[in-house]
Amino acid sequence: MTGAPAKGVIVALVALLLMLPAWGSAYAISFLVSVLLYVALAGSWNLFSGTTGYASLGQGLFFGLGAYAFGVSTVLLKWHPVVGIVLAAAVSAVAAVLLGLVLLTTRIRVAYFAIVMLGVNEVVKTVVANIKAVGSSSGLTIPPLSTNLIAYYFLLFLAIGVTALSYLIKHSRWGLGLKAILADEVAAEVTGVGTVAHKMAMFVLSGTLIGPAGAMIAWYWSYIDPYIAFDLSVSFDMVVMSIFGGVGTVMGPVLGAVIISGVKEALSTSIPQFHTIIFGVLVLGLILWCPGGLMQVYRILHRRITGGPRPARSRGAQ
Amino acid sequence: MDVTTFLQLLLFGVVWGGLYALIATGLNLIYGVMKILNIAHGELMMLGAYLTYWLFTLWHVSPLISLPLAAVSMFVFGIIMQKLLIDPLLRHNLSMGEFENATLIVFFAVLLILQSAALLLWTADYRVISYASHPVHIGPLAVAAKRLIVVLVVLLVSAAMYLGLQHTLLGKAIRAVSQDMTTARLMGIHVKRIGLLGFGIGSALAGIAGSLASTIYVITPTVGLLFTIKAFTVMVVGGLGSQGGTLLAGLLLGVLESFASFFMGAEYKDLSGYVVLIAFIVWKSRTSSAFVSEIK
Repeated sequence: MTGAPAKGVIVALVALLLMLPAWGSAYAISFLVSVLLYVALAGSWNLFSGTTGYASLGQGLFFGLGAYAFGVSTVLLKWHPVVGIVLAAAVSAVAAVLLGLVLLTTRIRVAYFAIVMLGVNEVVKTVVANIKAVGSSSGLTIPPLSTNLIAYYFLLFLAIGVTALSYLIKHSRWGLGLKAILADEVAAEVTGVGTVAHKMAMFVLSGTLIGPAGAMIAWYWSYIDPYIAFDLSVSFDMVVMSIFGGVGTVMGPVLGAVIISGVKEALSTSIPQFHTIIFGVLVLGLILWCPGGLMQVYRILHRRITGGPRPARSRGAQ
Repeated sequence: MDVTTFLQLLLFGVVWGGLYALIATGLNLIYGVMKILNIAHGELMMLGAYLTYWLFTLWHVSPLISLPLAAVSMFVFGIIMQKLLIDPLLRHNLSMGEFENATLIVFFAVLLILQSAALLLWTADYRVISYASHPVHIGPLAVAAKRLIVVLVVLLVSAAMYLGLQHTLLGKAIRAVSQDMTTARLMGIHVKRIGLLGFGIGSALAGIAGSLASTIYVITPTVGLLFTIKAFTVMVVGGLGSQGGTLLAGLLLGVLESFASFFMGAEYKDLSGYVVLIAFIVWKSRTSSAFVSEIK
């Protein structure tokens, strides 16, 4: 989405979201908290996996680490919540650096990388569930937020920040390097792109952004245990939303997150019995029709409406 | 630990390991001919398990009779999935990376649909079959007859798969397609038909595994994913396309889990498999070219 009208739409939307709490109901706020959370998560997943092609099936690891860093620092150490959120970012960043040093310094096969990340998430979940000091499997109870607006604004700014970062990186020299890695990693390396530095930086950035989201949600829930903090569905949702919207694009994960959380919410209140089945069928239908996700649908519609020329078929997951 | 306990743990491990190997063989076959990581593979196993459970509970049909039924129905199910879901994707002319992304999300949707359909139809209740539970004594060991049946069936199916893949024309075609699709096509192999059959046979193996699992494990609608992940571990450690390796890796994982849960507690049973998987991939990605991506 480029051009003056698109910019106008985005500015208007952000202004609307900033002022919404003035008249929005408590239900609207809590619904938007989960939408904004997923925009931030899907966008962060896309920052690494969408730009480099290394699909991570365990990026929710950083969500859980962030949640636990927050829980431990505010409940057990009685530190200020702001310190807890900063700590969540720091812990996620360190974990991402360590994992990156092991996994991303070689050209590991994408499928193996994906499954190792899933495995690490499960290992950490089990280990946390067996540490008595952090409440084992019964978890930690956290003093609740004074108002849900804190979570709303925090996640709003995080979601906007992630999307803006994604846009800036895509249109920078660094973004060109990532594009080269996505298309052909060996060729990129031979041409002088620092592939390890590019992959590491994006992986750490992605993890560092997901950690604070986990911290804020832990505060918002006012309770965490290993099974909700390291729930595999958090990891899977990011992937599904990004691919549904359009992998590697700036607006794809945003659209995917908004539409999937919206559809899920609408279906689960109107037809609670069958909502997961209908949701699955919808996802299937879209991907079989347009494997590039919603952004591909957008491009097709845009072309039909404006009657513009057929764009050259893009290589790789554009 | 005395010898009897040791042997007992070993035997338990072998029973589970054989089951893992069977599921992984199906996953491996599908990956070989289609280059698809079927994340809903465990759901086919779940369907096979429910089929066996209901036939047994409603009409007292022996699981040994349900077993071929489960195999045939999952074969047909696999073929239908291929026709309905993979064929339309292939028509889009996607790059390898795009195809991987699309199939991942497609089978994730299949997983969601099958899980919630099972939940609606059969509820989340734990289902157990009490079949051939009487103990059989082998020397100092006492083991339920059903566990021996599981091991026996796994060995029979593995042997049949081995002979089929090595000595029949279809088996040779499947191996050729797994090794090199382009060359296989040049040699006159109908790659698409082999893909279809491979997907069907892989799914049938999941159905058989489900039938077996229903006799020794509790069945729930969400049982599938855990088995898919274990099968993936076995497939990676055993080697893509290697049947002997898969069987060996499956048995090793089963035995490892059995000993881990005895010495460290049941909560560490699944963890031990993950640790092996991670360590193995990290080690191999630094030493073996097979674990390094060539072209994305």
